[in-house]
Amino acid sequence: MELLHNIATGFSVCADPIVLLYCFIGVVSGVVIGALPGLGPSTGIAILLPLTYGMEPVAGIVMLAGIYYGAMYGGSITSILINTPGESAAVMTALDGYPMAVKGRPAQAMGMAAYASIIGGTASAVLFMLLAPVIAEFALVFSPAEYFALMVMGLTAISGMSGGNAFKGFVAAGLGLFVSTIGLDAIMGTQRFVFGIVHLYGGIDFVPVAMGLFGIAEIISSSAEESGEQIKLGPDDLKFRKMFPTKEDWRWSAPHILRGTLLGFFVGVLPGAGATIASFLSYDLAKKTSKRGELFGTGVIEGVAAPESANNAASMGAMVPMLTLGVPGSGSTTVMMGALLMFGMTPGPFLFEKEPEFAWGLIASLFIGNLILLLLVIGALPLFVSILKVRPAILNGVVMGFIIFGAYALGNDVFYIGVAGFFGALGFIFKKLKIPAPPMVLAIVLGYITETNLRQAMILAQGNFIAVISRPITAVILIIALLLAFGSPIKSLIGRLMAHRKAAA
Amino acid sequence: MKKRILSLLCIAVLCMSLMAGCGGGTQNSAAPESGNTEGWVPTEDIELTVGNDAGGGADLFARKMVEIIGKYDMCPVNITVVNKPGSSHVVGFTYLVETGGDYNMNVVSSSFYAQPISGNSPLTFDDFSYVALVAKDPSLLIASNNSGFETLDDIIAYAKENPGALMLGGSSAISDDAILCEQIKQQCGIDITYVAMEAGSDVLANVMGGHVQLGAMSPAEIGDNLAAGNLKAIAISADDRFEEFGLGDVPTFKELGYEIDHQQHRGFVMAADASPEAVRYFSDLIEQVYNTEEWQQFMEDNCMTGFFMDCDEYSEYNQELIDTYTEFIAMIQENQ
Repeated sequence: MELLHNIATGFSVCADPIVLLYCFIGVVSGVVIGALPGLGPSTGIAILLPLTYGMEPVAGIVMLAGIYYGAMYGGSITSILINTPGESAAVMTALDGYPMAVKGRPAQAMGMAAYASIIGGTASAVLFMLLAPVIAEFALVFSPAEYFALMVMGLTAISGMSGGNAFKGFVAAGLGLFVSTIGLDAIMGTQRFVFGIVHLYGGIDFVPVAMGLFGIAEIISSSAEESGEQIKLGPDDLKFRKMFPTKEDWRWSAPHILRGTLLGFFVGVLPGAGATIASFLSYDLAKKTSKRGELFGTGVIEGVAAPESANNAASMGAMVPMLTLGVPGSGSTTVMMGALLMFGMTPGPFLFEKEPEFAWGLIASLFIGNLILLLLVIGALPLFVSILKVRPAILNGVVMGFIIFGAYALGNDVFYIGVAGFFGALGFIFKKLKIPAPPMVLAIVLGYITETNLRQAMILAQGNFIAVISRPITAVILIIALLLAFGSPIKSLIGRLMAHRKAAA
Repeated sequence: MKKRILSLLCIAVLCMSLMAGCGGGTQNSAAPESGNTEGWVPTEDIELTVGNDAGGGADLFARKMVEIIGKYDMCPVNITVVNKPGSSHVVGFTYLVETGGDYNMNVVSSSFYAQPISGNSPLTFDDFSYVALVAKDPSLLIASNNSGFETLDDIIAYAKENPGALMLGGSSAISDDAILCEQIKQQCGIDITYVAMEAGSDVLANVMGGHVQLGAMSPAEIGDNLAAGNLKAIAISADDRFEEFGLGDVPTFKELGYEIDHQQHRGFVMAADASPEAVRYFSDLIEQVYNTEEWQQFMEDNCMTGFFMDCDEYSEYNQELIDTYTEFIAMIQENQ
């Protein structure tokens, strides 16, 4: 009963036209920011943060939250249409989304991305509402040892992204792990591969790397190709009917959306693991549990639905520890928490008691925001898909421009443009050598966290490795990781042994 | 063939024009050398660089100052806060020194001292002009609930009975938290293993989760967790107790009889080539802000102790700070 009363308070706060306006502005800006390959949600929130000075706290936080989950959907637009992920949580969406577009089903891919995002977001908002206080405790259960195990599980996803050639996937991942070591070491502050370049002390952030490896490389290679096939859109393709995924699509995707939402929400809740990691894990889980797992990468719809539902769910989950404990759940929520402090709200266990209108207003806005997203998608999807009608020459130029802007905006410094450019060149080489790029980004994202957490866990266990891996949650996650990594070879081995037996009998 | 060339050409032109635009860099014309030492007034907009992202500690600090200046119209020109994050403020300071002049300032925090002294910055302390010190930011020692520690004596007793078992989490390998750890080791005569983590929020999460017994962090980052009973606060390295965040019952180390008083100093610097008149102008401007009610309230809300030094006092006091940091960082690096 109390819950209903609280959520009713929340909706009444949202009924204020100013709050609704800012929710709308936030969601629309978020979709645009997410779609532009140069900007990601954390950059977008940081840039728009000064706008919220002097605003009503509820309106301000509602707008920032809208940007966050709007961007989680927006990233899929450019991922699917031009194979240039709008932001890092949309990298997995491109793996199956773009092949779908090439095969002539861009609208269904985009539609499914949208609906998966909205379902994932709304379901997670419900989970948030029901579980926030309990979840807060869960967020604290993970010590460095458990994070290490989770990241190891994440690294097993490399096999799923290698597109058939495991060796090449490992090459990319190995290079990524190397790049992740550059900078000051976390535990002792030693300089590694810095060569006295001031900007490298902090290491290389994966955002400009992803922009280069996927964005710049894609533009250069598609411009350099002889065929230059433009995805042809017939007059039918923009009809409303075609925007809806078919019943069969839903049948394939439904279980993955469910799993993706749950996985994404819980990964998002964990401080330090956000939407990007959630999307990697969800894609890998979908590939390993789908009946047509081998077809992933050629354009299967659940390869779009799974990561999209996970990244939206993760964005909701990341707000839970931010509000209930004052511990940000991801990179973007770190910036949002700065906004909270600016508004004079103290995040923590008593936020819901001291400022119920603010807290429940935010939760209610999550539902309203997802609704706005749904209406926006239905209305504007034909518009998005029409991007394909623009001549590649012009489209590529504009996208490249945004990438360069976005790279600069990361730190108001041309260094980041250099990083994006360098990895763009590397990405072009990868494409020529048919080395898959996603494992490299995955390794960069996870490498640093894996190493740091392992070392912290070892220090806390006073050097006893067995003690680290025999912790209950750690052990369970590591076993799951082993199964995910070696499951299929073991299965086929057993299958062959059984066949031998039968033949011998 | 034509299409391909056209597309590549479009991209090339767009890229080049954007690079030229971005890479031009801010052309800060040197301020006109005013012959008179009195009455220097800024004639150009001022750029206040902050070495961390929007929402970070130094960033909020800088923005508050600019807000108060704007509110009372204390300065005839605009002051813009520009974020140049990277490498724990080193990128921001390098930018300051390279641009230089009378119209660029940066915010001082512990990274200003820690990074050059630990060898992680190409800059030296002679590259800067010291404008003002404004506040001291203490460190709070917290303990997890499952550690069973209630007072500093509990901790000392435990450490003496179980050598090597006591762990303290703090942000960054070389930081104020690490220095606090060294001071506690020195003054209390016990052994503590320092566990470096990413940021204050990680320390908070690990202590509340019971994965590490002790933690050091800035009191303002605690939020409501102390009042909610998610952790215990043992002592604070300030000169006096604070009332915010439920810290009224938390003793200072000084009260308990230990000289553990390391605090982060916050202030402002400019590049060495700034004219002394400009430095004096900003020093006075900041003193004006310091005396406003809003600023005093801001410091109170963030558990900072007011500590004002103008440009001359700071330039002298600076050597003391350098010596303190040098001493402790040498100890930290020895232990590694």
